[in-house]
Amino acid sequence: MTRRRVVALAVALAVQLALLAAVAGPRLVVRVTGTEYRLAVDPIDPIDPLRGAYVDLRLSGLPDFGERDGTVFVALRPADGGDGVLRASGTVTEAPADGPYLRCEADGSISCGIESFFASQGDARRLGARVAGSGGVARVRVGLGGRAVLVGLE
Amino acid sequence: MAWLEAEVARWRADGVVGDDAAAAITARYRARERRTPVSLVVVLGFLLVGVGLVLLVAANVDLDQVGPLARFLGVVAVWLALVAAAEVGVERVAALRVLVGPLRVLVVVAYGATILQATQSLQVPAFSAGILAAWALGSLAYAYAVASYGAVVLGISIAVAWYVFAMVGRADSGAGVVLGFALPVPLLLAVATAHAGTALAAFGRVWRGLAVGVGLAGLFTGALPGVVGEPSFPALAWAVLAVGLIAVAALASRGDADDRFEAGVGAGVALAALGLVAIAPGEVTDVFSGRSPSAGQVAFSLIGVAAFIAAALAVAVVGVRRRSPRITDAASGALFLFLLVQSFGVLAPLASGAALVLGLGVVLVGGGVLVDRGRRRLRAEADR
Repeated sequence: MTRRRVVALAVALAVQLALLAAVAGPRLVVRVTGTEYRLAVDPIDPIDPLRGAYVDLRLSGLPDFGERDGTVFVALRPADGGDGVLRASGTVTEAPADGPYLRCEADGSISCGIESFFASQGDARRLGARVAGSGGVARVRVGLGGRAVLVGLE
Repeated sequence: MAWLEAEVARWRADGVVGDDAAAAITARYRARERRTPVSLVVVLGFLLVGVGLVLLVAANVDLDQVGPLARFLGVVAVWLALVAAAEVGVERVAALRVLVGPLRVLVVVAYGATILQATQSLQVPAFSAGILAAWALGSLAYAYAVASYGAVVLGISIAVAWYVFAMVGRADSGAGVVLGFALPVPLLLAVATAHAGTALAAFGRVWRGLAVGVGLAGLFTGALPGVVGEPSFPALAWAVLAVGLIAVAALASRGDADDRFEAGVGAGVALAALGLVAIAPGEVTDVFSGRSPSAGQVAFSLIGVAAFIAAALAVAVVGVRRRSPRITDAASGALFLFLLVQSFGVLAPLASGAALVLGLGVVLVGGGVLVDRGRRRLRAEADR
């Protein structure tokens, strides 16, 4: 392999790693440094051909569609029944001054980046059925600015 | 090679060329080893390994409580091991050199598996378009670094999948899809032309093929009745068109007549798509409703058909001028398919059942003969 080829390959690998970091990095930071909350969620049930089975979740208390497109914030308040579980309490256009909140994107529907929980096919089916029956609780880490990463589903 | 050597021997015997010229001609060519069934099996094996790797990620198997981080590190190890194998191991061992090309394609697939595993481990929402975009860009960076034709073809294919996925998701109407296909054509042709005269000239042919494919797909879609709907011109569409026109004009001005002709065809396809979207009638008559289409709809259909036929013929000529039979054949095939689909649109309101099938059969045979005859004549012109 020539020196030029080695340099070209090193640059290509650096670009590939940078792209990988760009895709995964922001969520990795939140997963490592974010504060963990337990959120009430409702299931819907599908499969991604490239990444496998997952439980499609919707934040309990959130409307199906946003009133306007763009960035919105969802304040999280204690759910009825306590147990430390939080629940969405509608959307606002400014970040709430107090309490935990999520940063979401509204483009017709509202996406907060915690809508898919990937699992093996059997687990996804079992979790989906259980959440559909008795409701579910998502363990979510929330970082600065309200960016959230889903880390578990109960 | 045997054919060439026999021909050169005949020319020498006929006195057409002397000994020196004959030796010089044969020295310009090298025998290329044909792909054997065994090498095809090897390629198939690599493809299966790649698909298996992606499926393994998608299966999300909980291997004895192996966590998401361990799974991610495992896939990264496979990806980097394949990179090293292609560059260090296989390239240095002459007996394994036939594996280099397929192995580099497998590297692209393994890089994709790495991104898929990372996003799965971090629960990135399903069907996020950015995943395919990162896969495509990373694949192209690798393909260009190692000058791998197979990797660039796969990288561009992934980029097309991302682009179509993102575009269809964002387009408010059929107009967005038509413009999304046709407006990047000048930019893609500029990229293709920029490869000319470099060591990566073969990559230019891939980009040219892509430009031709999306351009004809855009006009094909736009000429179908009822697809465009309400006209819409997103700002991004203008930006892509403007950058593409400037780039292709700049390259063509420094190029030869073939470059200028190709640039003109690219600009023509993009402007034709803009025109179709601008004049599209808002209301649409279902071909099965029995109602006659309005004068505006008839005029739009005729203009759409004329635009596609002109574009397909121009693309076929580009294929001839670039000595690329595949482009000419693709344009002929697209024209034939277009005639078939459009004739169905015309015949469906007029006939049904057996008459419709008979009519389509006649169009199929007649159109096929005419298009094939045109294609042969163009290729014969190119061979002269």
